[in-house]
Amino acid sequence: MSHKINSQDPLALGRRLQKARKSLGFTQQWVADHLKIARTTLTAIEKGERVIRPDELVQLAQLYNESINRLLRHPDASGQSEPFVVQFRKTLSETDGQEIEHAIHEFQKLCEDYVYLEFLTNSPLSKKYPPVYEIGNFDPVKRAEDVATAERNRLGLDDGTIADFAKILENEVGIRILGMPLPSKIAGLFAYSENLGACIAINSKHPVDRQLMSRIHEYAHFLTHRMKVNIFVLKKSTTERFAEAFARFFLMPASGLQRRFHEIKMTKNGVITPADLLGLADLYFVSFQTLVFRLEELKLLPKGTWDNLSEQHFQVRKAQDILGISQKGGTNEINLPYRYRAMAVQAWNSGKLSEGQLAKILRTDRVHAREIIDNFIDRDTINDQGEEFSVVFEDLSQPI
Amino acid sequence: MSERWVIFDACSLINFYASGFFESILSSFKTQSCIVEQVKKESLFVRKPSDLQSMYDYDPIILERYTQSGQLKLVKLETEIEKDLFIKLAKRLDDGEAATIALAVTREMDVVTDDKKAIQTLNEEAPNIETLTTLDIMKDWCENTLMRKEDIKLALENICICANYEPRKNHHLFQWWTSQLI
Repeated sequence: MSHKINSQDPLALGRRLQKARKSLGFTQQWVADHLKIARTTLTAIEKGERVIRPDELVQLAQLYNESINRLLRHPDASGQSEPFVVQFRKTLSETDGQEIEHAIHEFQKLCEDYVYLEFLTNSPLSKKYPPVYEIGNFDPVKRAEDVATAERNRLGLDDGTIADFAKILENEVGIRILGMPLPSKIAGLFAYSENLGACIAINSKHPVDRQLMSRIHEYAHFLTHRMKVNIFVLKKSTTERFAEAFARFFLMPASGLQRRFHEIKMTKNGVITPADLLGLADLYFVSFQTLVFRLEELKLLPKGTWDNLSEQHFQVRKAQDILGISQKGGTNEINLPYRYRAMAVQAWNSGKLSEGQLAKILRTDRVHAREIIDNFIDRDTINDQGEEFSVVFEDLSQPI
Repeated sequence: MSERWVIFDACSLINFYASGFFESILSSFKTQSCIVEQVKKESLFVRKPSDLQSMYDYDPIILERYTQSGQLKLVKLETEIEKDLFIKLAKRLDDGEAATIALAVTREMDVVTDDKKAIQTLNEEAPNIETLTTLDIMKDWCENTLMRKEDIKLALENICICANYEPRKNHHLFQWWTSQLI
């Protein structure tokens, strides 16, 4: 029997190995030294000119902290594009360090797994991208308001609150939205590639209201700079003025917020209390501070209201507790969208994923993976072939 | 069961460990039982009910006691033929599953797995290799060791709760499973 892997297209495998190496920032020389082979041999492997040996592949997989299954599975979801981390490196400063590179690497792997699940379940994500909006020489804040209004209209959202923006972005636009722990100063990441499409990662460690703002912020970036990667860092920057303005106009459109504010005032004989504002913030899924600033901007509250409240040491968290408004904090876990989990379970149930593959794709251990299966599969129902029914996979883009 | 060695996949290993009678189950085998290195490296956990209702704590699976005593042997891919087959199978299965089946085929061991895809792959690759499931082993264990009815019920309940495992309704031993839990 041959001692080389001849069942795999060497060029395709070589390309994957090269991408894995570049994603980790390893040089060919360093990897070759580790494998105790010549650098020219590694070059030949990566170009598909030399078929890799099984033990070499096992060593490389260990070095790249990658499973053999992931390196060999078909199809290669990443396609021909440069890895995200290579694209991001052009925007990272020297001080950003390994932590953010590792996060970007994981972001890409999640997106590739997402595309792989779509392949397994024959459920491609339907891309309904709007044309790119130009900012040009317009005042970025005014332009942000125009674009936010246009997008709300295009998505059929009127001027009300948004219940589940991530779902809207996935189903109505075709953007992949993932939640993952990122370095604290990073609120979100945006990346685009031909195979993976537009992808957004939001910092799951941040409070839920912050995550929503970050999602919209990255959406603003998608609308205006589609092909360019973006790291959303929590600091003031003039280049972010458009995105920040877009986020608040999109989330709290003037007409809807004004209407609600006046309705509250009318029922309270013209008096607005902090309790009313806390309730309004909760309704719009924003922080109390964000809402107050927006109301100041709309001149519904006097300018300086937030500063006054701060000087009086108004304790937002305590007030929320008194009113029974739950404070939704972040977690250190990866938040996979419903669609992703549903497809994974569907693929497992139809025998296209093993339990081990399922657990890896769900980024969990096997017992937790079995719990996730329980959320989707009704064990009490069985069809004529003796198979369990699964919950019908909810994909609004698929024909009935 | 045959006289061949028995190799556990991760999915069945979790179930036996969760039963609370793992040592007894291992002792009931007439031949050596083993797991492949890749399975040992996986992060495997079992549940244990916590004080909070309907919540669980999770304990890691620790196998040193069983591997050091020799009850459970740790095996690895050694020959080129084994590694070739492992690579071939790893295109379709997770690394642990692929390595388990590769060794089962090349060293003619019986495989213990409940995974649909792993069973299908094994049937295609080596139809002569016997595939055993968690329930096959548990039934044999009950009968060969003359366990008390209460202990059998406890073991199966533990598998349900701590491994969150239930057999599919079309499993050939599903009736036996339900009859033991009454």
